[in-house]
Amino acid sequence: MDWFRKLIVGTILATMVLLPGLTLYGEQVTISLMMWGGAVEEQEVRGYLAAFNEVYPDIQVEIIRPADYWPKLMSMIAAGTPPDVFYMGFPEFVTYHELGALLDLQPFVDATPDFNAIDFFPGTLDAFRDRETGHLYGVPKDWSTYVVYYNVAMFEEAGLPTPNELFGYGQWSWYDFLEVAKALTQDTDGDGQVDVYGFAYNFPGRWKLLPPAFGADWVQAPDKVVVDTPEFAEAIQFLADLALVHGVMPGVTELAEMSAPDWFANQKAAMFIVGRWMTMKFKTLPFEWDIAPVPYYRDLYTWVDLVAYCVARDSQNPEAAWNLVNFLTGPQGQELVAQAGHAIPTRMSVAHSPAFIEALPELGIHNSVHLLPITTGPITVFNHWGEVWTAINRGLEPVWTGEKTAAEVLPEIQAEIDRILAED
Amino acid sequence: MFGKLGRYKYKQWFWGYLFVLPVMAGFFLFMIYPMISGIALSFYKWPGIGPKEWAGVANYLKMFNDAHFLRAVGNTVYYTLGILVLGIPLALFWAILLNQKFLKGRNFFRLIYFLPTVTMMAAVSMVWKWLLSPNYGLVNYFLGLVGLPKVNWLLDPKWAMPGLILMSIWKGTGFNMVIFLAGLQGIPKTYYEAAEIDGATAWHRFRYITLPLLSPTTFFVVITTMITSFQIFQQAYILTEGGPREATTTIVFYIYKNAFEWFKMGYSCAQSVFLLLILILATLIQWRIQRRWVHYA
Repeated sequence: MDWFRKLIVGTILATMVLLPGLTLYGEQVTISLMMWGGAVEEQEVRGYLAAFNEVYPDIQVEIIRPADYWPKLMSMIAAGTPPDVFYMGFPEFVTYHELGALLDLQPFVDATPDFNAIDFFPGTLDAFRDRETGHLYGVPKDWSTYVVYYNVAMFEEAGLPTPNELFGYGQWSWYDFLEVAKALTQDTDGDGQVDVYGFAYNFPGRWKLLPPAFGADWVQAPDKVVVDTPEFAEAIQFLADLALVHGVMPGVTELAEMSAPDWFANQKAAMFIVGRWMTMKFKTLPFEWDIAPVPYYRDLYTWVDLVAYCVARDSQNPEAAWNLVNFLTGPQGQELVAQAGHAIPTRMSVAHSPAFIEALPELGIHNSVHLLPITTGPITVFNHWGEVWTAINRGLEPVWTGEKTAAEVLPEIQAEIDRILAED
Repeated sequence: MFGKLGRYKYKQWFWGYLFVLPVMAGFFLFMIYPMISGIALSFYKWPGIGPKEWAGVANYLKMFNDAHFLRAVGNTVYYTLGILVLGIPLALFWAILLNQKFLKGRNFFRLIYFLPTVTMMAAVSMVWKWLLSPNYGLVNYFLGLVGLPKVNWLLDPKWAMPGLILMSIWKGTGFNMVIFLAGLQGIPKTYYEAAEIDGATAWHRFRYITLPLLSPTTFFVVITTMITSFQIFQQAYILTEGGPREATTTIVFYIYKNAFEWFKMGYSCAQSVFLLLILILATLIQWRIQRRWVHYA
């Protein structure tokens, strides 16, 4: 039996030596792409990758879509086996870049003549640059602005002009918005309880849309966050009073029973505000809806969400990873993003082309609303980002329930913010 | 060559250890090693990736000046007491009930009560979110039937933790019930028969036979329940996100926040070490006082 054993051992050894060699011979490279989002988004990304493989047949891309994105990414990087390419939100970028986890993409950009950096929306590229050297560490893959989603039939029944028309007439301030919401709020069966609200909004998490429109310049520098101002208080109180005083918006308890988008989707609210991604959920709704700009007040403002592709500094195949990033953020990749419909392309040439303006033609919505030059880029990322947001959200809770006013809680929140930002 | 052990003994020894080696390797690699490095990391300022910076005991000092952490400790103790005081007697009650011979369909009910234990916490939490819903929830409906006012479970800072305790008791009591059942079945019937002949009432039999002879089981249940309760995380993460107003921010929830959302891995390690010390201390105290009430037959 000895020869038999030798044969087996010999075969195994030969395979171990030869297999990697054979792989090299085929010049096949496998890289990983880590993403978040649901199964629908993964289907879309598979579509992008199919297009990518037509151009780069030798680069195989393996998708990782974990349930818990950030802990997973952090542990993979800490273990020295990061995904080659991964999604990176603009706030998280600052931290991951500071920690040295991301690859400097500037050399690749410089070596790619048709990269055409000026084609990107101003502000979207800058969010992923090193603050000192200006080197690019991530390429924006898509972005989104908050817009008003509205139920067309409800506006018609109330005899109101559409929000787009009101915006055009210059009658779309937050206080105009309140009057419109009042006109849309109905008690259809006369039992003294509201059946259809004018507006539904996840205000405990998304109040951030209002303060800048009310003139509050609250993020002044990475280490300077100022919420204890009359403008900030006015914005927060205005939002809280939509539910507490005017009764035109579901309050905290109602939101616990049904989420804000569901109030709109079930035709229990005439208006709703969030980013572009909700189009994917709403596109199958059995009623007609459209999008319009968010209201303004002292300033025009809308919230911007922005995500980039980053490459791990420890990637084994930086070349292949760059080719993937460059393809997905290039004209062809961005057209696929536009057609998918859940985000705005980051390349202006694509966003302003029919690929995006006429995306999702079966819905007949005004996609161009997203392109109004209201905001040029995302908010400045302040230090201790997550902890400061938690402190503000927590501090505002008594305002939403009506136990305290915004003016009462903001000094306490400011003290907490200052304490957190003072840590090094 | 093999000294006193002898060749035969040595062989036995060798093969025995060889067989447990895979388990031991896993245990050291995935339990002991992370524990030791966790303790080591608690002395560093470290965001989770990148370079570490020696911090001495700064993380520990910070912990005791951190109002949010102290709040989390208080919340966790509140939760644990709730589970111990309400959950364990309930588990014992069910176990005694389901141990009665006259009860029809005992096995069916044992299964029903045990089922929540093997159900995924995420699924359970989603269902309980509905059960505890303020206007349409089943819990408030039943409260209404007996004339009690509606409670704003999960949204009222006073009621969020009781809501979590309620859910966790429903989820976890079946497990303790099974342990109690096993304990009850280990008590010899002859004691009860003798007591009955001597004229002991049902209460006497419970008080002077069941409780003392069950005490080793009770001791085990109390210690394991205490340890798992101190580690409560998922309920708070899924159901309340630590709110409202931090009312359900538990130690492990706060550790998670610090480690994975706020990039304070070193600080969160120090909190974990603190949790470990509390658990060791509480268990030691239990061991100390057990000789006053635990009887090994």
